Amino acid sequence: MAAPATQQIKIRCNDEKEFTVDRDVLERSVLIKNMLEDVTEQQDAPIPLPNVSGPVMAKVLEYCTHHRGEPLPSADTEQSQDETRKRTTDISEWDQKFITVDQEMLFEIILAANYLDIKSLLDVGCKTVANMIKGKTPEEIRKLFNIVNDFTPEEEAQIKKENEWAEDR
Amino acid sequence: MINQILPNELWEHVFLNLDYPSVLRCQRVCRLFGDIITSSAEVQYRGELSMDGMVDTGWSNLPVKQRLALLRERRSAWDNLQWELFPEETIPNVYHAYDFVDGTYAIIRNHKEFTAVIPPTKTTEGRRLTRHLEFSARDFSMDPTQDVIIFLGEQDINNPTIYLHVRSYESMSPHPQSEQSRIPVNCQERPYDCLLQVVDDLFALSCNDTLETKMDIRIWNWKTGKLIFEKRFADVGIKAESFTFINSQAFAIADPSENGYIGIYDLSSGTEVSRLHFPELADGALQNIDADTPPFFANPWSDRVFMTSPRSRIHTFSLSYWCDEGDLVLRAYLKNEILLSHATPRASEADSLGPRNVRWEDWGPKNTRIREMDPMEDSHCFSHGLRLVLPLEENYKYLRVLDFNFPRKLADNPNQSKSSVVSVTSPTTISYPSTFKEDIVTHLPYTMHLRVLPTFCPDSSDSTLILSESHIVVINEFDRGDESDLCTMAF
Repeated sequence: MAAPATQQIKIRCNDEKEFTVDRDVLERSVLIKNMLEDVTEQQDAPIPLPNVSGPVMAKVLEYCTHHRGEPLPSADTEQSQDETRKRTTDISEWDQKFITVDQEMLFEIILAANYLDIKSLLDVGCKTVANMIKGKTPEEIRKLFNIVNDFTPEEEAQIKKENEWAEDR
Repeated sequence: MINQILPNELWEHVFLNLDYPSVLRCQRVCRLFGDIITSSAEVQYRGELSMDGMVDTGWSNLPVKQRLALLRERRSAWDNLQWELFPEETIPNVYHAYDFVDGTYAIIRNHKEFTAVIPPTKTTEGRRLTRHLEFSARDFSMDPTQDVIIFLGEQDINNPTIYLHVRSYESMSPHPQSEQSRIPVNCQERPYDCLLQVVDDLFALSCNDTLETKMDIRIWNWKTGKLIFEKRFADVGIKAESFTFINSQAFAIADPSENGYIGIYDLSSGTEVSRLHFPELADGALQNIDADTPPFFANPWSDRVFMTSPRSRIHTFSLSYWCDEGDLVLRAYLKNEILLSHATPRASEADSLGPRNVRWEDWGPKNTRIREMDPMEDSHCFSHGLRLVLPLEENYKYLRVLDFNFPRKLADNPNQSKSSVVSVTSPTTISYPSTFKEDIVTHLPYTMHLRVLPTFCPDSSDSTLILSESHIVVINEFDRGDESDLCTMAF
């Protein structure tokens, strides 16, 4: 039997922070949706989410609340025809504003979206990282993410040579 | 592990959202990035698709690895012009109209006999579609991915109304999605030269009158039968062939007046938004500009793994000049994106200011490649996506394909004795000081692929060369009355 839309669910993050949220908002997360479907009886104990912290979850819930009621992408339809028309690297205005956070938070959101299985949020996060990378040189990318260059100069030169044809764009 | 900010599969997800040159730069950032990129068939496949100007159709169930292999095989075949040659076929000569869409050569004979020659591919056999039309048609245009073909009927001497027929390409019966399969057009003046073009839900009819002093453009939605745009150009020498769609929101009309320009119209406002001007003339005169664009396909082909991206499109503008040196024909190649970038509608209050004028220096040299052509050549230019085939020249034994997908990594050529490839990045200079105020220098890079013609092809400029996504077709019109030879090379 379908649960009434107003049902409230409690969740607990890894820092003991608890949230009480409308079921349909939480169900943007496929992980939680599946968990709730497995639970037949009314449960009072909060659902533990050991991989997400309170501040990140607050952000994720902001996203889920804004997008509540939108159809969830199904595995079959996501890839097909629309993609040939426009491969969307564009992010909606609201999402753009939402994802304007510091880098640490951005990566936390991506990890949480991945763990909670919220595909659209994962997409927004990864596209944002991609947009940060676009057009930058390898050195600029390293600096951006604090990445250590573990190539030898010879190895790097070799790859550069192989990809030379694409460098002048 | 070093540099592990995100799990590998999430970096892969990030890289899938990058353009290919950016992916290649990421490969050099660190070992981890390099390993993720080179080991991910998905990232390679997406990247190489974009490099080739292709998109996945979404219809194939093949694993990504196999799709990548097919894509590489295809690139190698095109880069090195390694075609598979099919036996010659005899086809009826064209008397009334022909169209060439995705390798399919379609003609109308005796106004009512429609024949489409669908060429073989490496994996499928060729076939022929013959249909008898219950009306007389003088021209047509089609999009097989929508199963739509639109015919322009013949005009009855005593009746100013011409009919357009919206039909199913396969069955030739009225198209199931069209609310009005027979659309009347009132032509008080008898149209002389006409051109039909379909894009998505729309189609355009451009017509000249007999004296070529007027050109009428009309655009309909073929599903509803509604006329959505209509305009008459009078006394400016614009021909029916100077019209081309840019996409389903915008179109271009090449106007030869003054120095010549491409007028770009936005369909949502129905106004001309920009004019891209051609090089300034000194003493010559621009007689005419023809526009040519590859056919539009609204839907992904369900029988293909990947196809040419709707964004990959090379436009060809053929400019015919009168000058001291005699007739001069310049062919300007430019990508759809440059036209699109000038197609954005203006804010409504700016409408009264008229179109934005863009000087040649500000758009042309970087975004076009202009080549001088033999004035005798067929003005039609057969292109698909960003690739086109040059017409044959007398006593010239090479078949030449230009590819404007750039930058790109060329496939290795295992058979250099047969074919060769040149990357053209240096500018082309055209110098006619008495005609143009300044030399025309253009930079749009491309690769030129050459291969000696198969022996059956006479080295004659009478042959028509046609290029599609997976074919080059040569049509030899011999002086044999009713028939031509058609020969297919598949890639």
